[in-house]
Amino acid sequence: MAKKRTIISTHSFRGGTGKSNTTANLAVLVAKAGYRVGIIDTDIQSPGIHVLFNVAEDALTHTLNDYLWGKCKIHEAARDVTAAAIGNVDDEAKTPRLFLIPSSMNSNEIAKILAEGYDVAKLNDGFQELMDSQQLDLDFLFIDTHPGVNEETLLSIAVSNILLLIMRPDNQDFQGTAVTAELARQLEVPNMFMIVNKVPPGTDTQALRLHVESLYKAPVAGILPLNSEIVRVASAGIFVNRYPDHPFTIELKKIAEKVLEAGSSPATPRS
Amino acid sequence: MALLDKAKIALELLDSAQGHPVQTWRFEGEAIIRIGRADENDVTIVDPRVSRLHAELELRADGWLLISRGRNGILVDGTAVSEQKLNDGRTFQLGPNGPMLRFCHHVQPAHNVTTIDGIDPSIFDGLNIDHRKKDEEVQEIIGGSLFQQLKLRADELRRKNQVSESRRDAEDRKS
Repeated sequence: MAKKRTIISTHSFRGGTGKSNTTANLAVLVAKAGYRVGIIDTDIQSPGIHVLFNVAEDALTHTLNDYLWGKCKIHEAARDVTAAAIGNVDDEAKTPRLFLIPSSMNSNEIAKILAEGYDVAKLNDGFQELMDSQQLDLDFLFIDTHPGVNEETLLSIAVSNILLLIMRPDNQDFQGTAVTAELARQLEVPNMFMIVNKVPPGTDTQALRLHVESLYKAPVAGILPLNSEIVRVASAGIFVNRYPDHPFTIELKKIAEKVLEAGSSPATPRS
Repeated sequence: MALLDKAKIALELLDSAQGHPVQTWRFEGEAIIRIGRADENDVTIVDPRVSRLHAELELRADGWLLISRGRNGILVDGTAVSEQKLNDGRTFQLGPNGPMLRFCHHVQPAHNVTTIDGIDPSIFDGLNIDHRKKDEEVQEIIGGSLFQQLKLRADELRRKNQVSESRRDAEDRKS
């Protein structure tokens, strides 16, 4: 039996929820558990996840944009960021491995996408090719989506085995996320989890968890505390590596376990 | 759901413009809740469109029932009703153009929750969903042809994924 390959979309209704940071740190934790993991930054209009892996802009030979314009194969845009993300891993070691498929930071490229749009079907072919790629041989693919509800986001959600909806304890986030959650149900996403991030100190997290679960009728994978340290590390690496015992890291590990658990069960019942 | 859990409910008075709760009443262990303008009601709403006793909520074996008692009646989704079974999140209006209320099962009553440092969980009251607004937005999106096409495309992609998985299975068996 071939190994199970799992697609995880992380999404938030608005920007500023800490989505990219959560995605990057989760992907690192999952890779560290002994897997080959990819992250694709589909937030083409405002890319940023590459910063967390210390990928310099000028070092980006190929990006997701090049793939979308037909200039390269998708796996050619994948960069092995294992050293920056995990540290000392033997070059020959099959696991853990982390690959990043970044979006271009070049303002002309971003302007081109905004002006001309791109073929959403091509993006989804890209997901498929990534999952099929023998070079990358991924176990997990994280899709860091663009905030809000639009065609490419919905299609990313639709092809995922797991959807992580990230929000802040904020009325607008709660309302907007309810719409996305309902659309995900309509699209029959097999596993949907809620994550509340930036929760102020002193909050009764258990009561908040119950409140969110009763509102969304979906399990809460984690309640992440408002984290001032993460702001300081933000542009200089991966938080879970630097602060392995921080409450944020501990809660994130629980989310990673849920991803691993859900990833090991079949996405669709087989006949 | 156990009868005891059913007895833990909350009623929210909604701001008519935004649909946000502006006042919340929580009940536990009650079998009848009276709503009206008069002071002796369990939920008092001082509004000329509300009757002295406007409505009652009664806990029946199969859940909560809303019964109209006033002259102006009760509207559910814009339609006048004399009785209405209440599910979690159901909104209803006291008379035409009258105040809007939402019925909710609440997980834990405020006075029973032990917080780490005594924070009142009613601070989550602002963290709610306006179900009517959400349903409207969802209907608008899923009703469009784009969403239906998207669903079809998603099905196709899932099928492709399964084919790929089977192919990988087959390749693995060969090697």
